[in-house]
Amino acid sequence: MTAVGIDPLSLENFSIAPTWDGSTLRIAFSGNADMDARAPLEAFVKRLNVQVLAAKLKRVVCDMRGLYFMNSACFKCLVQWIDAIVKSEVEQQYTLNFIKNPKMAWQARSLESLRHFGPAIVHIKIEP
Amino acid sequence: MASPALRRAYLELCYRPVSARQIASATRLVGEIFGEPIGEPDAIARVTLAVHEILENLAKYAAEDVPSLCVELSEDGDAGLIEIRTKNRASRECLALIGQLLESLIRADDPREAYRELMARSAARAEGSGLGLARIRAEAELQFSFEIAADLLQITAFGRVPLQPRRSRA
Repeated sequence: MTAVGIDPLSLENFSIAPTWDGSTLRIAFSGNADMDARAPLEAFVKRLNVQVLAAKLKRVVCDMRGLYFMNSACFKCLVQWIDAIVKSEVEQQYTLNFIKNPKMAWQARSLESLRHFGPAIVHIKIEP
Repeated sequence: MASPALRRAYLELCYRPVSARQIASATRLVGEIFGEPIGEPDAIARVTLAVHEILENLAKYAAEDVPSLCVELSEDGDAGLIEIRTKNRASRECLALIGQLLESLIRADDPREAYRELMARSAARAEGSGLGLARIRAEAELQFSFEIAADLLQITAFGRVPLQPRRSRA
């Protein structure tokens, strides 16, 4: 699997940029994940999950530092992503490592909710 | 007789949000007006998260009428009391579902666990998230009260927030 296989998502106020850091796939979220972003995000996440499972990756890093806000409809897309991973065969499962922005207080609460939902899948950390 | 709570900030918006940009603008406005007296970033984030979710609900579910959103911050001892009130008309089916959800959130002993259960149900559903109000209860840590009369729905999300000391006028 190469970076070419994953198209970025670019909307007026929201974007997702996939990059490779060695063999680690990093997905950088930025902007405002609002009602206009839900459908594209849902499609992106579904497509990405299929590709990650096919490539047998063991983790994906989700960099949320540039994400100003995420509404509950977009949040549901992440919930469905975690749910899809949990329901995959055990040997196919991979982890989601979320990098949060400590200056955006909502992220600590929302990412903690995701960890509560998928404790074996979701990890949260801070990076400089 | 106890004196009435001293109001520190009040904002009333009467409009039907139709775009993400309008919702973002109103949420920013609330953050700027209420951020000053609340002060603590985490508490401000709780309030703006709740306002954003409520405005999106109004955009999605309010009937063709002008709904209202009031945000009020008053003194409650050493802390503040934030109240976010909405009033809108909606279809009977919509009101029944919202009433049921609000009842369950009000009664939930553990709002985070109730939220987790809703997430699991929501993941299996193709349409709608149904997570907005639960998110307000669990993540914004606000409680609800509500009233349904005919097709009119009034919801209040409320809770305590920190309050900055009053600034003396120069």
